[in-house]
Amino acid sequence: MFVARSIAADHKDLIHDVSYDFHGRRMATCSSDQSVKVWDKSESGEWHCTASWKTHSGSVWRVTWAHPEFGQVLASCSFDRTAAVWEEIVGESNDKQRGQSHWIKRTTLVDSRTSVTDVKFAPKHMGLMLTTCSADGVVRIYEAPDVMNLSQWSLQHEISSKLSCSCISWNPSSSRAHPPMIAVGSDDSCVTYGGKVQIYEYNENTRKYAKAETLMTVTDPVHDLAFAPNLGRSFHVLAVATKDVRIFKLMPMRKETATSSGPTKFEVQIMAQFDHHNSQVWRVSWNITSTLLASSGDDGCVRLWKANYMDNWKCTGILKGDGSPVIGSSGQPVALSAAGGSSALASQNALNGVMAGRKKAQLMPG
Amino acid sequence: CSLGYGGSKPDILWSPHHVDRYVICDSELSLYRIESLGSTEAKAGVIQLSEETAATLLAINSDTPYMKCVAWYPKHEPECLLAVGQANGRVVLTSLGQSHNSKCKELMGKEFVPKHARQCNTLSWNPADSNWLAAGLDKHRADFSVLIWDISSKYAPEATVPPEKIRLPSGDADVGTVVTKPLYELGQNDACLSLCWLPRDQKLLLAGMHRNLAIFDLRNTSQKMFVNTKAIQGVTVDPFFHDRVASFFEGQVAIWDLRKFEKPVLTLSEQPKPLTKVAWCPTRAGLLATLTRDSNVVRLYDMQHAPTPIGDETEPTIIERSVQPCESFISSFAWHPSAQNRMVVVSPNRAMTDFTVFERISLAWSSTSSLMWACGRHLYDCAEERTGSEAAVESDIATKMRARAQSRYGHDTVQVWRNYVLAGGDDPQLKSLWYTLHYILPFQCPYLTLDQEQKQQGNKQTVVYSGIKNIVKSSSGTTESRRSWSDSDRQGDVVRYHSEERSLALRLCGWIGRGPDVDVEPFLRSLEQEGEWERAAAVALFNLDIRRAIQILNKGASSEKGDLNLNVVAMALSGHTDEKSSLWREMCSSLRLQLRSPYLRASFAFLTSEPGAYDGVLYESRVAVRDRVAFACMFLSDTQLSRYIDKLTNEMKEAGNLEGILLTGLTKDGVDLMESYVDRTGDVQTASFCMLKGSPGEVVKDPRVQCWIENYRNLLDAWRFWHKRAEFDIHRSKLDPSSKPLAQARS
Repeated sequence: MFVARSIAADHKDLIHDVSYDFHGRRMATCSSDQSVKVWDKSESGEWHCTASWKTHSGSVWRVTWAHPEFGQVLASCSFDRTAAVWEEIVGESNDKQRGQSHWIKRTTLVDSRTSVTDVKFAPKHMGLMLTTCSADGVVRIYEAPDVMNLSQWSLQHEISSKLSCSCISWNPSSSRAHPPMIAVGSDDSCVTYGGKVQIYEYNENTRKYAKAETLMTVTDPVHDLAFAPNLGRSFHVLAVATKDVRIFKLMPMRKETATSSGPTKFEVQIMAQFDHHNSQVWRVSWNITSTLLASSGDDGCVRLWKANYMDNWKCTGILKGDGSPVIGSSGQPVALSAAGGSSALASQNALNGVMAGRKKAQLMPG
Repeated sequence: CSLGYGGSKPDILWSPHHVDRYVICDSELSLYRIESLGSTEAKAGVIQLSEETAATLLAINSDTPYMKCVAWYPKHEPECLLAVGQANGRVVLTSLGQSHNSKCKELMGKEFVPKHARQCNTLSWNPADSNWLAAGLDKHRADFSVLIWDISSKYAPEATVPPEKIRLPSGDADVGTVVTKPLYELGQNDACLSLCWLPRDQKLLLAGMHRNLAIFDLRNTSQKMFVNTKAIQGVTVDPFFHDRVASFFEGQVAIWDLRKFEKPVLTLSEQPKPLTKVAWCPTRAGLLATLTRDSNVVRLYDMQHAPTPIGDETEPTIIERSVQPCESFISSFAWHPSAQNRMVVVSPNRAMTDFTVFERISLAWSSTSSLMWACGRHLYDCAEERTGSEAAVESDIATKMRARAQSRYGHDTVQVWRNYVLAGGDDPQLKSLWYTLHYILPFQCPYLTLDQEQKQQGNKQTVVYSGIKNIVKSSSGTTESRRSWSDSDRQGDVVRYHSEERSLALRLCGWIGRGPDVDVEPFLRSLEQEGEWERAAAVALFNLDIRRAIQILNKGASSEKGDLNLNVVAMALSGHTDEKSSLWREMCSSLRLQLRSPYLRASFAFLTSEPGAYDGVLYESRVAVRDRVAFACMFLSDTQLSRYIDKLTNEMKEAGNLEGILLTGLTKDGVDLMESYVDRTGDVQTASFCMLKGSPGEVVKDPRVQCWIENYRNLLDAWRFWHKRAEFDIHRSKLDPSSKPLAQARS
């Protein structure tokens, strides 16, 4: 059972993103107060804010960590149309003694003409690469050719998605069988523009990214998306936060000939679709083995999803945004649990995705 | 505050000073108190508004007909004084509930009458001078449409009203309480649809006129600032940013900055239906709620992120959200004055819902399975806590792998089966896998006959276990023997097949030990020891030893926690007869399906089957694969056996069932099977350790296997299990010498 504890965040405005480092020992948050805070976990498991600084001249939408192999490096993006790369400075200083660390800006990426809505580092095996997307529909991929020099970034690729971009996610697979792949979500509200999730794949021959797939069934605005950690699986799983939670399975079709140079063809399956939030879904996040998915929605709840051995995804728990349990219709608190199927609590929420939802409206207005 | 509504659709107004009171206005005024559900439970007349809250009706006022708009007196006292604008343009002061306040008594029933009768559209109390009440009226020729009344105006001489007459006058004017002289008259030859006082100066009044928005300055009423626009309905000032104003026209909201009033700073995306209400959230800066006709959603515009000057253009970003407080259409809504983001909505049939607009939550999983989320300005760290009752519940594979890494799972290379215990010892597939790997360990080359096996000992790292599927394929020289039940002296008609390969398969299945001895007895005793009575009995039966089977069942029944039903089963077994048409056969074959134990079902299927037709055993999916395979190796002919094993292998591969590793061995087939297993479970740990046992050989070089190994090492890195990763690398380099350079390069 999951138990939530409140942490005094001390941000002066809405927090837009939280991000863990590779080891889960450090965390970064960013806010409309234009700052980023870095948090370190003590041996006793408590979080302490060890740095807080003004990063942008607008709301900071997202913050993300580079793989620790590249040092202690953060990237942030903002409404001020920029993205920035930050590095922690290790050295003898009074700050260190007070438990504070010092972060300096290594670069500002100013190519976007509109709000930069998401920023993500590419998977480690691709080298030190950073991707941004912006409201004008452009995805930019930067590379630091010298990982020791974080102030030099070259713009390697510009992908025009033609739709206002809200989120990006790299396919984390390091398998040589899977070329680099990035999914881009759009929050454009015009339903007639078609698929709001586009998937681009790197082509070794042309050295360019080309569209491999558009998820045409996602026509509503997309607020977030996340590739599942691949963990050596033969297919890819993508979670999409739109008017509901959707989980897609992308199975690469075996290429007939080794020489075919086009993008990989995928067989796209929808594994699950849940409208339990009964409203827009805001964020989705996978655990390290991609066996648990967490989602948040405009119903103010955090939900946990888990697949059983039959690949049937079910809701295994709910907590309200303030960490309190949701009181179910039976009067029993419905706990957040990572455990599978058999518990009595889970069964209460074990409504099958597609047919659920309506009941939940009474359970939690909204 | 003011509002305008048509027909008898209910509107809702929150008390400016009592956070628990609101008024619903339709043809009458109803005052409600809202409280938490716990405190009002079981009381009559309580209306539930949400999971946690309910409302109680405190008072009804039906004295004011033809209501068009209502505004709540902004001062603390008198607390329940309301101004009602009527269809004939009159404004009446009325009250809800009892008030002993003398000022209230004095004001109640007071009426303010315009020169010409026409609809009163809107009312607004001056926030600073609470005696001033602005009323916006429809157009009447060249008359004024904005009247500012002073409610403290003296009555006509006969104004003294006896207390019993404190009742709202009906349509006809009661001269005693009527005021006809407004303090100010504005908006000549025009109509006024909406009004609000500007908080930055008590003498400034913003009005939505017929074709323009106008700001009247009471210090100089001949002057007004105005801008031509159609968006003249529902003017309302942002309580957090006094220069920002919203107004609307049909489906479109315009946002104005009073400092540059020439044009809207922003128009919100047009909605398909006409808007009925637009209101700034009093508890959150820049949050505007809008409602359209015949809709069950409230649309929210988050202008939280005020423009920051970059260059010269500034454009605010707006996050648009829709929330659905209830299933039915919404007639109106009102923000709670102080509770964060909370509102009560009312439906056309007066159903009310208490609703909170939640902040958007961002969240992230850590590599160590804790979940962090941010809601508003707050952070929540959510970690799994195992309570006693949950110990039995299966945990997530991430948690399992982490625990298994710490328990040295996979590292026992001597007693290989023990890895199953290290894994937690509750997964039948892992049990089967590690027993399979255990049994094959001494035979690195199952192709070879037993004599050759000895020779191989010195060179055993060269050949990899290739599975029963390949073993039975290579089977030759199969002999058959007609066997009878051990207690029967008749010539039996059960055909049993023999070959070296089949014996080898039986050994790999764990039924018989090494060496020339083909006795199943040690296996039976080990099953007895583990209390697997039904399975032991079935194995004894398959070896045609019915007496031993009965003995096992008796033993099981008398054991600790034994199941007495086993005796009944034993009794049924003892009645066994070969007679084809016996009652025993007939009953057993029909009743066996009701048995709970798959092994007992299989046992009776065997006893009642025609020779050579053993589907009841072979396809009893809950009987362990190794037992079914051993059975098949004893009773199926070469062609039958080969077909059965192929079919079973494919089934196992498709399902990613680790029991199938017994069949596939550590071959490409085995990697295929493991791929399905990893696809299904994500358990790269088991996959890595298992496939390393296939080294040296092609399997370890399979890119999929390398990928699992890399992913497992990456998990150990993410968990900061540096030591475990080093151990794994050592383990790996021992089994797969070719991995050494790679490991060094990567570490």
